[in-house]
Amino acid sequence: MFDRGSRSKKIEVAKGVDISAFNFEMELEEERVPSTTYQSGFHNYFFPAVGRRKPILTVTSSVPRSERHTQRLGMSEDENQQISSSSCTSKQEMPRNKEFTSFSNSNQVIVTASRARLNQHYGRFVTVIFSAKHVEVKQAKEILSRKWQREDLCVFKSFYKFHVENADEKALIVLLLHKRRVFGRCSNYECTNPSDLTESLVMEIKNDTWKDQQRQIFELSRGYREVWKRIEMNPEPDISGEMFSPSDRLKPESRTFETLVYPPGDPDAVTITSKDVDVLRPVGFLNDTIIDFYIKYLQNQLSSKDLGRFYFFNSFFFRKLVDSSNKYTGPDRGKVVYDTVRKWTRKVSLFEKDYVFIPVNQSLHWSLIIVCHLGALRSTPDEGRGTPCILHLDSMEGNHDDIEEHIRNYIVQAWMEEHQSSANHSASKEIISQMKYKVATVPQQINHCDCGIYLLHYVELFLKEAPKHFNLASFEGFPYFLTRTWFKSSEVSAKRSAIRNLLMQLHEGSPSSGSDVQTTPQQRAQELQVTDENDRSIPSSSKTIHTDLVVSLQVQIQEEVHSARMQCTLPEGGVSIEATIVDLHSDDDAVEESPVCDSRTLDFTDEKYSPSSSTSAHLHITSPVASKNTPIVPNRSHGVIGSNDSERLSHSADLVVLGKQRHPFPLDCDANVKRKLRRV
Amino acid sequence: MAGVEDSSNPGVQHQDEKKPLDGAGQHINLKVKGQDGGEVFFRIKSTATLRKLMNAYCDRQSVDPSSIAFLFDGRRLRAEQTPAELDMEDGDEIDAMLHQTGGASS
Repeated sequence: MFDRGSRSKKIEVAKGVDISAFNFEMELEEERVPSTTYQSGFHNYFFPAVGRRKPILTVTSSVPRSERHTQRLGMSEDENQQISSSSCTSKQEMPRNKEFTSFSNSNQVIVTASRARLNQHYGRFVTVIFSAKHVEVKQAKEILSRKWQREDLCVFKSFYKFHVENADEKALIVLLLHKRRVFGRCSNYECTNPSDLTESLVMEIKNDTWKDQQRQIFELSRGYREVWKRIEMNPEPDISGEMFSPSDRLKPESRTFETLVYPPGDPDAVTITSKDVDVLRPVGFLNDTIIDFYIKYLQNQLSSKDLGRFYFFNSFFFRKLVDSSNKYTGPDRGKVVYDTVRKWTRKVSLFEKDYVFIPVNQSLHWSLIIVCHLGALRSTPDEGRGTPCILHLDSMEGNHDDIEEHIRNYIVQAWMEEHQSSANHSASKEIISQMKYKVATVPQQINHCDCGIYLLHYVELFLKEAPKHFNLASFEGFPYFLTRTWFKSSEVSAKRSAIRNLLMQLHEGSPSSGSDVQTTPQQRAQELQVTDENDRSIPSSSKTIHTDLVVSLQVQIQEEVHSARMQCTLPEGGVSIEATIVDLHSDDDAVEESPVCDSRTLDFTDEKYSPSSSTSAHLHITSPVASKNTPIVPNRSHGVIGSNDSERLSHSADLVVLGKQRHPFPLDCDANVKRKLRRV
Repeated sequence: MAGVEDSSNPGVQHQDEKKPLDGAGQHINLKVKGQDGGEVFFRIKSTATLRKLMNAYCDRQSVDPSSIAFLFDGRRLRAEQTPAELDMEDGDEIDAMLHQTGGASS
């Protein structure tokens, strides 16, 4: 960004924000465990082309181990070597007292932060050692100890001057460091999530000592200064306002979202709270409520004629099937499992439906099952009703074998239930086992958070297409619309805000919003926290500063990397990007430690995350399991105050959109690149 | 928790059974079944909102009410609904399931 002088601007931190009220909350920041790394070839790959970059791209200085990088910094590796070789005599002491201490010699600057956050981990009295070649974090707890190459540093900035009347100024130092690894199954060019690229370290230290330390750090290596200069904060003026002024942040719409019951008056209505709306922010994971809401909404858009042809299970159906079959074993397991969900369909006959939709949630991943033409099971095949089959629409295809088994068992049981009197059961089993199970070729998600959105988009588009194509006597393969290019990924990214806006709209128009709806005590408490400006808004705003900064910086870095990649890939056209799988850093596997929190923090922490809650236990159980080979993403959606987050949503959404506009190539360019790369 | 009694406390349950049942104020026994298979029985007035039952269950299980979805015959229950309007009958079973979330894949 700094190449564009006109865009650069300093962020001013609102005065009067109480730094002591900083909430270091674990769920604020999404963190993933990556399992692959950039191979050095990747950097070699995109750097030769760097000269063609647009001026706004500043990614050079952020990429590790690039020769160009060091040249640009005007410092040769030898020079670096000299500096670090003279540093070997230094002793590192680990100050543990509450004083902010600084031990400096010519080779190192040691900064002790009263509180720090490394990715999602929090700790007190964290020591950060800056040397010419490394940045090292040390703390009593292993989880907060880390060492990076200085070259990995891509953002180094402090935000400070929080005036507190009776206290010192404090500085909030933000460091983002490139990960040399990217998310599991995605190779790096698909890695679109900001936090996948970088690790974040945020420290809170005394401002007066920091000024000195900053100077000393700059003296260690020019690289620090370069990185410091590199990021002028995002120049959009509204961000500073939004970010730092509590009253601005709480825009009316997010403030008033209390509870929406949709569809109103329906006994099956879904209740959406502000917390649910919050998951629609750019990197949020969709929860069952949003999934169920939107499917309900789509259902209500159907004409009554079409409606009769479809059946939609809610998002808990499949979970219940799995839970039950895990619980029971034995010969009559299928029957027992079916019995647990028998009543779910007591008012409908699935065998009269053309399409049955089943949202599937497994291992933190949403996908969609569509059971097609069950009705045709009863009739002779050539009645023109289509071929019965089970379609699996998965935005991240992988190993989901057991889904088929669960669904098939269910259908067999449902069939036997319907045909108790007539059929001989082995015959019906035969029929159903002949039903094809197909993993449909559908567009794949390009990040790690959108599978819920993809699910909803599949449903929406399928509903549009299915009636048209229903009379296909049969389809070998798939209905023609089920292709990888069914829709563009940009449609999906737009869908988040579309759904959010829809919710807002419905909420405004809903008679049940406001006094008609009794809010739960939790919701009331939430609203209190949002509206009670005197007390609560300050911590929440400073909390937002903290995460918004990191998020926006991460977005920025990600965009730069992404753009640079685009720039380099297209002209060359055929250079492959490679990613290698490495062992996970042990720290990444660890269960998150408790946040540093005072009583105030607890006010903002959702009860879900309180140590006693079994939900938090559940989260802990899932995370190590999943992180063995996949990233685990703590659900940011829960446990954060909704309205603030909705606000942040809009803020970050702006950022994202902004990024796309600046993006040298449109998103679907991505697909071209990928195709090219695959060919190679 | 007026209107809801945890019937695992036998004393309370028996007292209630002796009360005359008069239509509107009728108590029914509901079973809340967790995902681990654990069951908790509640007696609730059929005109009382389920909020009471939900909160009582969550208190008992030490979970945050907002982390749990309650389902009855596959229908998502809302706190302001009552057993009467849902046609719940004595002995009916409510599923308590953790809210689900998803973004990445295994």
